[in-house]
Amino acid sequence: MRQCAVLETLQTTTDRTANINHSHVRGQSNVRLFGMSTFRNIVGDSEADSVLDESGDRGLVEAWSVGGLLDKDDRRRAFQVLYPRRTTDRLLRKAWTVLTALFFLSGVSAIVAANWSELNTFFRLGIMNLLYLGCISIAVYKGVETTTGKIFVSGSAFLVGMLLVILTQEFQFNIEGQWFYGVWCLLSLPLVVVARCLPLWVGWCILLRLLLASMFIHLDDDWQTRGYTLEYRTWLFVAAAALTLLIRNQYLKLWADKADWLRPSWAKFILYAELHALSVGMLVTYFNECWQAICGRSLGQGFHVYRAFLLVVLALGILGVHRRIRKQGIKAVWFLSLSVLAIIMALVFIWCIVLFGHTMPSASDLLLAAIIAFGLFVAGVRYVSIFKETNSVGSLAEGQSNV
Amino acid sequence: MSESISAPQGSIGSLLASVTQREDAEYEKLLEVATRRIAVKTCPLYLRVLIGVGATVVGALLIGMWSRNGMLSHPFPVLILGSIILAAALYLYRKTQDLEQSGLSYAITQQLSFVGVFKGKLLLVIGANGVLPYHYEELAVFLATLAFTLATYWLWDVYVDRFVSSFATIVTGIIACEELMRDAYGVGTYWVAAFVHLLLPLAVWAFLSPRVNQKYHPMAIAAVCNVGWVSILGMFSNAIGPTNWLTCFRWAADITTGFVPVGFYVVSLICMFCSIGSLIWVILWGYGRENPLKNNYVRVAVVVSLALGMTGITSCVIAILVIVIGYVAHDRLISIVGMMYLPISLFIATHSLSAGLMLNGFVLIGMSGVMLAGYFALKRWCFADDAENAVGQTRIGGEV
Repeated sequence: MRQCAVLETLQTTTDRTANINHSHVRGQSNVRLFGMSTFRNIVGDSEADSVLDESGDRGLVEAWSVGGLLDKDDRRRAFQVLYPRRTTDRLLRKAWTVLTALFFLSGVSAIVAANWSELNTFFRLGIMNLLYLGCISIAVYKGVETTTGKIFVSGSAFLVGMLLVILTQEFQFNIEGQWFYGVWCLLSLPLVVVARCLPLWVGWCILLRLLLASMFIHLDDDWQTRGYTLEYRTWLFVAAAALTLLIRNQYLKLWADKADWLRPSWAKFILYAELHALSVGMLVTYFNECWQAICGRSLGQGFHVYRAFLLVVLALGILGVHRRIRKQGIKAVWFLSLSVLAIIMALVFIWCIVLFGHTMPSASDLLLAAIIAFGLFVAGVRYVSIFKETNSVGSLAEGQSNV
Repeated sequence: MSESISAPQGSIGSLLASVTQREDAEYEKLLEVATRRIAVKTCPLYLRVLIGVGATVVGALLIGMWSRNGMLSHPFPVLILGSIILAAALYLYRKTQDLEQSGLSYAITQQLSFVGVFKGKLLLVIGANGVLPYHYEELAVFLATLAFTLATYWLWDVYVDRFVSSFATIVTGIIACEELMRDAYGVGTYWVAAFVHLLLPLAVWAFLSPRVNQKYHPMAIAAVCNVGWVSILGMFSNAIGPTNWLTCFRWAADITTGFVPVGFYVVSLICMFCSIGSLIWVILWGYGRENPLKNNYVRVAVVVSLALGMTGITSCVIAILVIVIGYVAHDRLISIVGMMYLPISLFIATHSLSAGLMLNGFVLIGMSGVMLAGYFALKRWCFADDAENAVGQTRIGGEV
């Protein structure tokens, strides 16, 4: 009772001084204090097991302090925990050094760019080679396992491309895109393998996509084969993403103790997003073709039976991936949402194709499509909510039984 | 001092351990406040993304339907319809607060309210675009954006929507101001940059001050984002920022020949002082005690900020300001945004041809020199663990 009174007093004091916003959710008082981090505001849920494991922040200390629960000394001690002197000094030193280097390099690059036309081939190539060697030397000196080493290896992988640009410009090689990106991919691959740095791997994967996108360019020359370019490129992208996922999983299985750098799931999420987007795109395209054939409409390139087969494969693939993600439980809830979104989008597109046909849609068709889309999204949101609730309760119960 | 509670560094557990003991009465009260604070759980992001995409798809199809019916060609009915839909959506959103999150009715009402808000806002903008006569479309769009932001900001408790609405209001306001000033007075649009930069100190204060409610944070962040892009745009197009002290030898000639108006330099100076002032205020505020200038950390930081700011590359100073705000407010996302903004502003600075590549190059090297001098000053006075520095506690640096 006394504690309630104290909390009430605290509530009033804090409310007066810190503009606390009250709202009532299902009859419970839901207090919003200032200072919650932007990330938490945007992301919403927290994955911490208990309140004690949640990260504290300045807002919480201020709330305690304003409520009269902390005196000056306590507040100072709390800030020492939040901003330890040694950590701050180390951070400040690093940030300061990086800023100095950034300003200096930008300044030098601007001056070099201003005088670029005055430099001869020897100097142009020499500058790049020196930078490349410098990056490699620093990476070797610092060791590729350190953050500095990884940054410099990444820099040298980037410089390989710049060196190629200057070489092609100086000697008028006039090479095509696929050769340029191909050589860049190949020459930077050893650096990428050695660095064992996830952002660098993602960068290399983007470079690989540029290579794949620049392939089959000869098919664009002829209007009869132009339609195949997009299809071939998309399948190459799908193959690249699937292969990367496979290699990642195998690597984690075989060298689990050395693969910590590969574990963060954001890169895996990007690959899944890419795979789903491409699969839905191809599925809708193939469905459109099949549907037009079923309706007896003429198609520019005729109907391909293999595409009907691929349509089934894609549909089964998307559903199979969804089932696999579902088995992984609450930790894969982001992946599950992605999969649900992909399925809903595929269904909405398919519905629109069936409804609109080849004509300009009427107002009633659009309204019907909107109603169906609304229903699908409602079902999707409910499905993910139930999955979240069920699995959270399941994991909690499992945890309690273990205790 | 306290019993050691095994908790990660910087966690609530470690904070509690630093200020109280588990058996103390205070412990429960502190934990209660922390628990109630943590209990604020909005709908998770993945669900909001799903709902948001759904709202966009359904809204686009409905707008398509109305467009096909020819309803969008009459602005007043569109405005009225938009207002009604927005009001209904807000009412629905308030209703969802009482519903169970995993229930079907929650999913339906939440989805409906998102569709309604998206569509209502879009209709208001479309309608407003046709209400005022030719040449005043920008003003009409700004007024509509302002109206729906004011109508929804306090009622629709969604962080991202508050940010997007505020951002859109400021952007449309900037565009409308530019058009009006150009039409009415024929003055250069660079004056708008000065007005926008004046928002910077205000936004920084709104974000950091504990007296300002957290609900205004999205607005503050939107204002800082707008200052950021206006600063970049200014530097890219007519070199507001890089042209001040170091090009002063050109001023007399430029002004007398009328090649560059005087206002251009005034605007440049306003932008510069707004950014320097904000950065210095954040440093002083971050110290958290009286007489901050007595502290070596603060003194060096203020001098370096002044020196960096005086070189005139405003966007770089804004980037540093955002990083420092993120650190002081313990808000990692803000710091990351600042870190991403810095290379962009440096890239623009090194490609800003109106100020000259050579000049910019020298300015940037000068800035690195200032930073280096600041580093050595810090190393000499602050990083060394001498007793002279142990004067108190800062928000930035722990015990100093």
